[in-house]
Amino acid sequence: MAILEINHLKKRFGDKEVLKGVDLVLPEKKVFGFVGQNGAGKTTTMKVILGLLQADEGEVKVCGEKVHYGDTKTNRFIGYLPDVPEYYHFMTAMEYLNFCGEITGLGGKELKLRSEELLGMVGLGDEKHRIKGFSRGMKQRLGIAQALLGRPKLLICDEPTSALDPKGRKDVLDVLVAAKEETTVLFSTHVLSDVEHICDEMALLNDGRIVMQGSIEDVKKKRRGNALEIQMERLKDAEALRAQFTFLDAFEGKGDVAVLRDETKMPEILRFLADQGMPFVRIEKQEATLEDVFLEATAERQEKK
Amino acid sequence: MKAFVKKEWMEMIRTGKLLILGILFLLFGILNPAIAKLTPWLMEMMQESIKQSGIEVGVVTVNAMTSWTQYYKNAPTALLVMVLMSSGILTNEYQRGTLVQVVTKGLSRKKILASKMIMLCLSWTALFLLYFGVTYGYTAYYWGEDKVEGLAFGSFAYWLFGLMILAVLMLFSTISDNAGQVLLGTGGVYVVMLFLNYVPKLQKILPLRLCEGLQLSMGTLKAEDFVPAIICAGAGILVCVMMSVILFDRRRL
Repeated sequence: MAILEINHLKKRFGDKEVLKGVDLVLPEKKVFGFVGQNGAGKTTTMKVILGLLQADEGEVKVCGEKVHYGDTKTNRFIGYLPDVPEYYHFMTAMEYLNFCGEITGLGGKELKLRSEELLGMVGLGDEKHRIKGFSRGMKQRLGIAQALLGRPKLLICDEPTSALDPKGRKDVLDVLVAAKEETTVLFSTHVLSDVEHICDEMALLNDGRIVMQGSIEDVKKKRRGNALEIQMERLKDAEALRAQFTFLDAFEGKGDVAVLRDETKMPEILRFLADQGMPFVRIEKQEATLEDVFLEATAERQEKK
Repeated sequence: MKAFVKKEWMEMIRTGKLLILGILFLLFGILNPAIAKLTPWLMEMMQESIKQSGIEVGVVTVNAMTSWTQYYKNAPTALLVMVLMSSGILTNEYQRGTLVQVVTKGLSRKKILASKMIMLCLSWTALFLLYFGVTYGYTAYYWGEDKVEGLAFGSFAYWLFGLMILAVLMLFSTISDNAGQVLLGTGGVYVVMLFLNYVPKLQKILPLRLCEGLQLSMGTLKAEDFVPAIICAGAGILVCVMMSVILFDRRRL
């Protein structure tokens, strides 16, 4: 059974249509990256899943149960970390976790152990002060702890790494990967390297629609025409090569590299290199980065408009 | 739900809200007999200036009734303090966004609302009892032999009136975005009642009658005269609570 199922979700704020029909199915025990530009509708989609916003059209199911706006029972399956988590300032981290635990129906020894375990995991185990004095990174980490407390089937994180320094970001990503063991993680971000590091699958939201979805590898492959890079040992060889084959491109900033867009020309070039006895360093297929994919996908949309 | 009630309690203690309210209600309670006790002395002090304005001051007698008159006079101030201190009961949470995590943890909104209402009701009851108790204690100490009738029923009536005002406050808290709007709405309801009170036929049933406990002690009103207003206030509380529940369920957090 799919943990999360979104069918043709539409949402409009005033005359601005934010979601124009989002379809998404989330498999179990995966880290799922939800990628999109700022304002693409990531947070809106998440809030609809949590019953915090009312959808205009379409439906959302969590663990097979339909989500209702307002008081929704499906939230018992979900752990949620908002983009800017807010707490009751007069509590300590431990007290807050206890409070959350009691709400979710945990209690006694189990709750105490789980709270200690989670606070240790997010590095707040020795923190005895009230939340009032917490830094943003500390709040974010406490946010993950509270989201994971009830062992949710679905963990939703809204841009969990955006406001953090590199150390904090790595900590959070590690925690998310660890969480995969027991839950499905849906996390939104516009930081593509994060997605590449920890996600199994991803969906790209652009202009209110999912324009691309699949495993990271699949998505990368979808980028048309991966080019080949030929790096020569000597700069003058590279120049000679480009003079011989005018369809070769230069590589910006690197004079000793020539870029071949059309793979079918490769034997011809290899023959030339062998005949001339030109030593080369490497011939390599250009790796498509998610960034390329992202930029291409978002650009396409804008052209179509 | 127990967890949320506990959180409310912790909040009242740690933010010092309960302490401030306790001190204020205690002060108001002490003030009533104190003013009564000080009145003859004050009059004596000002005798000269009053004489100059041509008014002759006779012997001022104070008794338990003076103290209880003050009690009913100061009760609205105590209620106002309560309303002011509670105006952010929900709006503070909306503005900070703290309820989002609670709701997404699966706590039903009805339970959140119920916890808040229970705590509000309990603290108003306890504080009003304190206010009554302190006035009662000092008055009995100074004018022990002086018996005043109808105090328990009069106080109950005022307590119920306060409860109704707090129910109105709760209702406006579910639809407002900030404490200012809550106060405006609650104050608005009070003002509307004041206007309606000019219609003689309505005077009997309007909850404002519940503030007239003093007339019970003076004998100008009987307990039966309060019954329509009590029913009206009870119905008002019920309607406010039900509407709050419905509106809070639909509210965007």
